[in-house]
Amino acid sequence: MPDFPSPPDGTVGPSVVRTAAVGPFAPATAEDIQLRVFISGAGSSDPDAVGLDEDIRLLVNAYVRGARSGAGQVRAAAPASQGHGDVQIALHGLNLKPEEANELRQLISELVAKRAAGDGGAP
Amino acid sequence: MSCITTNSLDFRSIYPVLDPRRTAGPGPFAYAYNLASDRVEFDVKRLTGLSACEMFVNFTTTLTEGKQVQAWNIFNNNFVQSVGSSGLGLQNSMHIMKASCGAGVDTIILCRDFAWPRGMTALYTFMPNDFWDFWGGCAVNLTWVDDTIGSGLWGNQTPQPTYPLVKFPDRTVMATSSGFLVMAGGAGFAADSNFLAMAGLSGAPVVPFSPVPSLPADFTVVREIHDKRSFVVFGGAKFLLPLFHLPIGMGSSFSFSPSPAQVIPPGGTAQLLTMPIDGTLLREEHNASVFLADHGQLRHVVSPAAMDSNCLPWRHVRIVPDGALAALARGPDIT
Repeated sequence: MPDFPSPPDGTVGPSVVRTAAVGPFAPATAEDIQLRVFISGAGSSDPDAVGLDEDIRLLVNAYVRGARSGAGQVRAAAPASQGHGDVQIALHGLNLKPEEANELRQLISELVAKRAAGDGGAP
Repeated sequence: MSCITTNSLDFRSIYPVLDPRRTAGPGPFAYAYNLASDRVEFDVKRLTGLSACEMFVNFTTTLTEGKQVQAWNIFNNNFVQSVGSSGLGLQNSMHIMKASCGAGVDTIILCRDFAWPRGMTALYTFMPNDFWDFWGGCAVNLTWVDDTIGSGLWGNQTPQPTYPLVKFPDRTVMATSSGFLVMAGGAGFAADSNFLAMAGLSGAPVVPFSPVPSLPADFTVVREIHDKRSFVVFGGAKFLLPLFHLPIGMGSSFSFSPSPAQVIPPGGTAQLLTMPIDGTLLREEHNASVFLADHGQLRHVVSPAAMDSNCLPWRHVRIVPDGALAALARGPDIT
């Protein structure tokens, strides 16, 4: 077994290694998918932003579940652009129709605006 | 401008990023990653003068199968640069900038070029915030050591690191040509047999000599054996603690462990720095002003916006006793 070039200062994973077949990178089932929300850019470390990623994740999860079950309906025409004020939103991995994606962007923007106004809390 | 991105990254691919600030010594640091099916070493070296918003990623391997390290932008869901095997025509070094929405880099993704029909396959990655908070401002030299053996564990199955990262636990006794070293916070302190006897270490097993750093990891608390004064170490520098300080949760907000001080030999604190190593963030307990150690000076970070724009993570700000920073040289403000 080849060794690392020098004794490491830190190790990730067990030191006992073994021959292992490479598994699939993509999840095998939809249940394996764990939605993540990333917030970056100016203001992302403000106290107002604490917990915002989790609030958005809950909002997106609820919306996607509704869209997939057919229970949700697009509320109204929403702007097609990705930008909403000072916030840019990109939705990847959700498999939404364009009108659904636009509505979800609008809902996220509204949530961010509420948080910025001090209303707080998930919808 | 804030950027919000949803991403269905396979959580199994995300491995922990090790924190150099919680590793003994000034670096460079060698981190061994036993990934699911591969072994990769990351050598992380702080580069003086390099912004924490920047990083150099250098790639090396002797393996036959092609490898690619993609600098990934999550907002665009694509890579903007890459390094990898020369056999794939890839360069071996890239200079990356922390992402701001659709520009720059959020994280890196390690890929293997499997035989047809599978082809280039993404396998391993890191959480963007940890990746930049811990390794921003560094040169990261990635050596893909082995692609036939690994831990068999994916990222979500891999235990989170426990800090501090040290090669030898506290109170380990090591033989040297002239006596002994006693470990505290991962650093070695020169000791003689008298100290071992006084510290109750006479019967301790003695490990063979191995190079160890002289600076303990952050949050280490040390006290010389004949001295009542205790010091907390941040960025390799010592900060005198009030004699009757309260541990965390009992009225003090000092960001050090409430664990007892490690007893070190007489004169041992002399090997600790006065000015912390570059990149250390500090503030006094009852003063909100944050300072960055930079080129042997403390520079005031004038605002939260300046923290953000300079990619200085709040989680790295260490709290020291009031007045502890007064005697340290000051440099220009960071805006």
